[in-house]
Amino acid sequence: MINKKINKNDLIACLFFLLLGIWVVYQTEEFTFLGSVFPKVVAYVMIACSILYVLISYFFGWDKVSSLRGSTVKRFLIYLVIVAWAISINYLGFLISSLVFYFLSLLISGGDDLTVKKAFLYMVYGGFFIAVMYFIFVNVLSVPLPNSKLF
Amino acid sequence: MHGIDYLLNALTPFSLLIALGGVGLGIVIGALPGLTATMAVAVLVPFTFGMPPAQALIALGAIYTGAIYGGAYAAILLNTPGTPSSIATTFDGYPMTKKGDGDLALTLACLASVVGGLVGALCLIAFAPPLASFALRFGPIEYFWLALFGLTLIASLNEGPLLKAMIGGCLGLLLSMVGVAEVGGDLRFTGGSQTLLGGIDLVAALIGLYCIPVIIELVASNEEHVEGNGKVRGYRLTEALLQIWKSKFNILRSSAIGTVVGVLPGAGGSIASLVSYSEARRASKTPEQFGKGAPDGLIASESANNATVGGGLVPTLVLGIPGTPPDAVILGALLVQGIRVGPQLFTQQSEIVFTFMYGLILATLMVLPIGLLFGRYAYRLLISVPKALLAPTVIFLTVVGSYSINNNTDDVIHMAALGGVAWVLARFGFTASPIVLGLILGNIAEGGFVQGYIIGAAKGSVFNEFFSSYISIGIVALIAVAMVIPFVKFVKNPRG
Repeated sequence: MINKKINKNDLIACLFFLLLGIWVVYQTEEFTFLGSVFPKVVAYVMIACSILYVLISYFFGWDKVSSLRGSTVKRFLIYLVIVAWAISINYLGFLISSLVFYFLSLLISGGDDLTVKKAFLYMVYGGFFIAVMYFIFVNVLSVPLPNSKLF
Repeated sequence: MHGIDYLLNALTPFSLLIALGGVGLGIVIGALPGLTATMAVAVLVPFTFGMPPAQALIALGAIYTGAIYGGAYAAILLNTPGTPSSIATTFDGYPMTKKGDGDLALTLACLASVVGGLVGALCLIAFAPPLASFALRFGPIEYFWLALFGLTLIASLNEGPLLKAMIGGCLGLLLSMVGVAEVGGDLRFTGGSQTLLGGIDLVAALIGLYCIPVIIELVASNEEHVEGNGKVRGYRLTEALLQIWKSKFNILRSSAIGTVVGVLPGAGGSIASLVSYSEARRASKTPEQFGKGAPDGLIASESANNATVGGGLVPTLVLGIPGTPPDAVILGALLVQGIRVGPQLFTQQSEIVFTFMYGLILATLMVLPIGLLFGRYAYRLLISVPKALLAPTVIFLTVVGSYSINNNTDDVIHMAALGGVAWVLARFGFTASPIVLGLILGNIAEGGFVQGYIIGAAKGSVFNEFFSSYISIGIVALIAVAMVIPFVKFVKNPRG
């Protein structure tokens, strides 16, 4: 049976890619001929596919919207931690940012059964792991991990 | 000297020891997300300067082989390609781990890597000069067509509607164009950001696109990270050997593809594994199982990427043109050792080069015991680590891995941003694989097209230039064949 109920996710996504394609075509006007050919072709294909997808969905039925399972708050928080970790590494330095955000992500991913004792124990493991990796990267692999700019 | 003498040269205790150590170190470095085989070889190359030339080469070949295989660990256990060569390994390796078959997946990866590595090394010994002359026939136009052929894989990697996969592929192609254009020097799609001038690093993008969505869902979910009550069932060697026997044609085909793609300078293990994966799916009687934990997909990817080691050394040794990025480092090491590469290498310094080739075979064989041992403990570690500890550890590895590619914090930010984009797109039904494929092939396709266009324009006929060689026509025919089946399927079922 054809699903006539519009999948808003698909519609929004196709609209986004349609606009992205138009923006790319607009941007290519500033490029040289050789620099613009490829992005322009790709953008036209993207625009065509987006329109075609909506038309096909309209006439042949839409995909059903899949529901999210699990905690949305946790999703948001853990991604926030990842972004903050990525940004802060330049300011706090590798060691401090790793220890701080490792602990925060441990708290978020721990769930209800994470007791204070377990959290402490895991943090000790984590701290040891970070220290070992720091030593390997800096002294064995000669990767200069960033130092703090603030302290 | 004959083959047996070279083999005996490679069998000295010192050679065996450095092959063993090289494979072990390579596996450890390759297993860490962000640390590529190129980095493994580059970091360890100074240790080989004091060694005799043949042994130095054996050490580098062993590190390279180990690192390519090591990439499978993160791919199978964490859904993050340890090296770009392991992209296709994630497609079925991680679903196997989720189902509680991670131990089997690691053993299969080990066996497939050994077979692929052996095929590549044997081809290096048997066919190096003719394969190298074949590679020389590939110009920019052939690379353009090859990249387009690669893009037809989108249909094979697609897990949902074909049009969504094509949109994803286009997004990947556009991402590959961010930064300063290689030809013309246009500043494209940087949005005024200086951090995007150099473009988006492929490895950082891979880590973000594949790993971050998995971490987000891992943390949000209340379920355990591995099914099957966390049981370890040993090596499962008999089961794996039976599977390898059942997949004998797949493994040989994938190894051959890996060798040939490895021979082509600049193509590399990532393309080899994707092409082999696609061909394995096309040839399979149960293609619907691919992407859901099909051992055949894993076998195809791992045998192909390890076959590129031997294949890539063909143009490196015969022509002095590195077949893959790690080969460029090996080429530098050869020059430091005073070895002059070229056809004369096989006659004037045959003792060194053939000892190295036999050493490479031994190093590949050593992947078997070391890989099985490492694999068993790596899987045991994964399932015994509580989720609360696993998620922060994996995030830490993604951060340090993406930083260490270029020692640049911008790569970490790109990784995190792309990870968020990948998670959102996954919610909208767009998978990461077509985006990654576009990202990998974008530069090759555009570079080949633009250079071909310039050559054609100079000769007075652009169209003729693009169809002037038999190789180009052959690849165009392959593209047509590759597009027929998805097109027919699409016409029959536009929603598919």
